[in-house]
Amino acid sequence: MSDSKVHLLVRYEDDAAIADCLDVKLNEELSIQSWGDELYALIENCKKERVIVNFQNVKFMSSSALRVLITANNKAKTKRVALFLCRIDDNILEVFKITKLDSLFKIRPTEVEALHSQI
Amino acid sequence: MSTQFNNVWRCAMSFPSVSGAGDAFVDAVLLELERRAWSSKDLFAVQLALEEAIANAVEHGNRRDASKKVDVYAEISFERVLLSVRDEGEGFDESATPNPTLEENLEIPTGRGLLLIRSFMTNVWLGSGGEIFMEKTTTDADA
Repeated sequence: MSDSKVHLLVRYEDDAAIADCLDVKLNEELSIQSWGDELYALIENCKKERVIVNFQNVKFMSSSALRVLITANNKAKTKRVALFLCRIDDNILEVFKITKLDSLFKIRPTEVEALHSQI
Repeated sequence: MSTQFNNVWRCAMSFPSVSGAGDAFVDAVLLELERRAWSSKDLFAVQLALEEAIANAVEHGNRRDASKKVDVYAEISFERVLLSVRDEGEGFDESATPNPTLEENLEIPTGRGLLLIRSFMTNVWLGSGGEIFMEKTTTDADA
């Protein structure tokens, strides 16, 4: 089961698909599931070399959202797409550091840096 | 139900093990912390710990059995918050779960809830059975 809201707004630039997260909080089970389904579909169908997820709007994230991101990262590796995360709020970045997931993901401060980082 | 005595706000609640059933309690706790001018960083920490504890109780403790209850309690002052979350499960053997921060475990999607609770709260105790107690003192008070 998932909700009917749109959670990602996708645009294309150079060699990247850029997905803006529209949610302010990623903590409700149904929303996270739908958000994950959109992200998985984007990676599966991606014709670009990189997918950039922009977290500019997101101010809260639970470990369920981390679960989705880890699964997305595994899917991206299989598909040979580089997954970048950018514009992560300081509090949420602390979650990545505590869990050491900052070493698993390609995290960049800005979208421009994610666009121009080496794959 | 919530009460206030000696400037300490207390609230106890019980809800079924379904997704979102604990939202009202989380909202009430955050509202009270905001009312007492706790920082946004502390609010983030408390919300994260409380939501992770409730999710663990619903998912692992009560195995999403809606007939089983989750009991929650909060005690909030200007400097300290004490929270407890209790499920009807048999408890949790922390030593049996793999360390999620080890390199070989980083790609395992689950098992980070308790690590986050311990990191964001000042003190955490696992009680007998499926009960967890969490305490946080304000960052400002620590400074």
